[in-house]
Amino acid sequence: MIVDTVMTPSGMGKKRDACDSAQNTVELRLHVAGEAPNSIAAYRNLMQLLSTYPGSKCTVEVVDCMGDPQCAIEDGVLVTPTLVRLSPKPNVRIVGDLSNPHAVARTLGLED
Amino acid sequence: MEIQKVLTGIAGFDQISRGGLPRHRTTLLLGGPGSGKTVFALQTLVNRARNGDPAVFVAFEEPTAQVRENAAIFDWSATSLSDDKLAFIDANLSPDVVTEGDFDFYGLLAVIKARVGKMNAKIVVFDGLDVLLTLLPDENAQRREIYRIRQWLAENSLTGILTAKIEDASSDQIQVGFLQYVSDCVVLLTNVLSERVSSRTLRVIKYRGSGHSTNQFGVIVSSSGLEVEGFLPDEMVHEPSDERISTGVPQIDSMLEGGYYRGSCVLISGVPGAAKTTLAAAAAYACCERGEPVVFASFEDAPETMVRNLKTVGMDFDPFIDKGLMSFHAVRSTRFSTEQHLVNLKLLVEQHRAKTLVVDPVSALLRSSGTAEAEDAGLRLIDFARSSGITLIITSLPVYAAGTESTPMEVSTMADVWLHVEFVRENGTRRRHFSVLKARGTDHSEQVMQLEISREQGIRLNSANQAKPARNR
Repeated sequence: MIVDTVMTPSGMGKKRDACDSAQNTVELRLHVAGEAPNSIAAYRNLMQLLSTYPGSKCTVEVVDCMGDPQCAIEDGVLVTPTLVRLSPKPNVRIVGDLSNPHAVARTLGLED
Repeated sequence: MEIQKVLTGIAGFDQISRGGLPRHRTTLLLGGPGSGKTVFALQTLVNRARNGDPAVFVAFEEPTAQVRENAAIFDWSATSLSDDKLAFIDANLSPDVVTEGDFDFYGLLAVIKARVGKMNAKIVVFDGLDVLLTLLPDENAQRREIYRIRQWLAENSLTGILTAKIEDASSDQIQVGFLQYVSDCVVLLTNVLSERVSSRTLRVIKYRGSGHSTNQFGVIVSSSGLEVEGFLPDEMVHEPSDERISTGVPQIDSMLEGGYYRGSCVLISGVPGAAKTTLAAAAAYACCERGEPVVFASFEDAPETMVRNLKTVGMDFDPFIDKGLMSFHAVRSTRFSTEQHLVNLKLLVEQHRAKTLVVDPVSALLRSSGTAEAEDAGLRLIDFARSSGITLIITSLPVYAAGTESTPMEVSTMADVWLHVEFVRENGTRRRHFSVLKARGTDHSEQVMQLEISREQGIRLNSANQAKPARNR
């Protein structure tokens, strides 16, 4: 069930965020499940977090597995929300609403 | 209104549960590691998939490749089932995944639903669900997600099987308790060690909306999967036979009006050294002479030893062994659980198409596990033989309680014929005294005879020197 939300089904649009000049691009993909509260929270928390790191360049693609379950399987993701860092390697996966910004930032390697 | 059920195809379980698992409801399989939860779930799925209910197995604990390998061990031909009949979804969170905060199963269920829809699946297994539940931040989240799954199953008209581990004392108890509360049917599987032999049990501890047996049952794992013990196949009632069969010792035959009835249970009791095995072997010998296959299961001696010893009393089994009439099997009682012993004996009888089964000594089954189970085992062995029309000859050590003659497992009450040998000291020598304590349907002699064994004459009975006068019945 695709709900009219802030999030877009996979492959249909990427959101760019807080890009300033920086060396490494961090590619993130957030798997969400429609309007599920944790998914919405994860999105908001992620955006909030990224806005506190103006120095980093990162892309966020949001994938709604309700609309395209196959994508989730391909990414090896089953619980939602899951945030996947596609680059730099190695892949990092964070499951949860990302409510602890410092921990998330550390895991993603945003902090120096 | 009796709820609808789904047969698992697991021998014995469908009887205990009076028809299987609740359809469109949730069943929880609980047990420690290695207790058989996953096998139970897989076996049910394979059976259902073959019977028109496509199924999905969601693996939270083991990678699906491992699960498939496990399924292939059994003779279900699970691999021959196509993906649209039995599908596996790998829901393992890889070790590099970090959890930060709350999450839910919305996405997971969407993915599973897509698969279910494609196959039109009717059953879903969530194997090792506890692994995922423990990652949730708190009990409320766990409860919420458990409810979500249950709701989802009901909304999609699916029969659900959840498996979860229980440990002894853990903080997971609350969530397991809640899983139990929420599930409609809860089955507890255990795998306990008793004197170094492992034995499995199963118990239905809850079944909403249905009557069920609340007893604990033994479980066997064989190449066919799980099998719950304690159930006879639909009663095979054999007409009691009038045919008298020789005990192999003519004098005993005459004490029994010709011998024992075919298909009866003959118990031979006595202390070690009393010649029980020899007597049992004599009866087996007589069967072989008649051309009837015999299985002789010994818990004490190796076949070669027995054959050699019996030759010294005039019984040469080699020709019968060569012809396939006589099979000696030696098993250490400590090697298997009582349940497994029973299964093995049944298999032996079937393999050899035996008409007679000798178990020497049957009291060895007592050593395999606790007494209560063993009592039950003795009776079940007798039941099995009776319903299959097989003559059962068992030997046993006696248990003397206040001068009464009895056997440890109340087997003496179930046996049709009870032969007893005891040692008596006379004039500085030990002599064997033989008597028929019981012979149902037979006007048997009540005389106590002296039993002698020699190389030349085999087993012979003589009037005991101080024989009690025969009483008229």
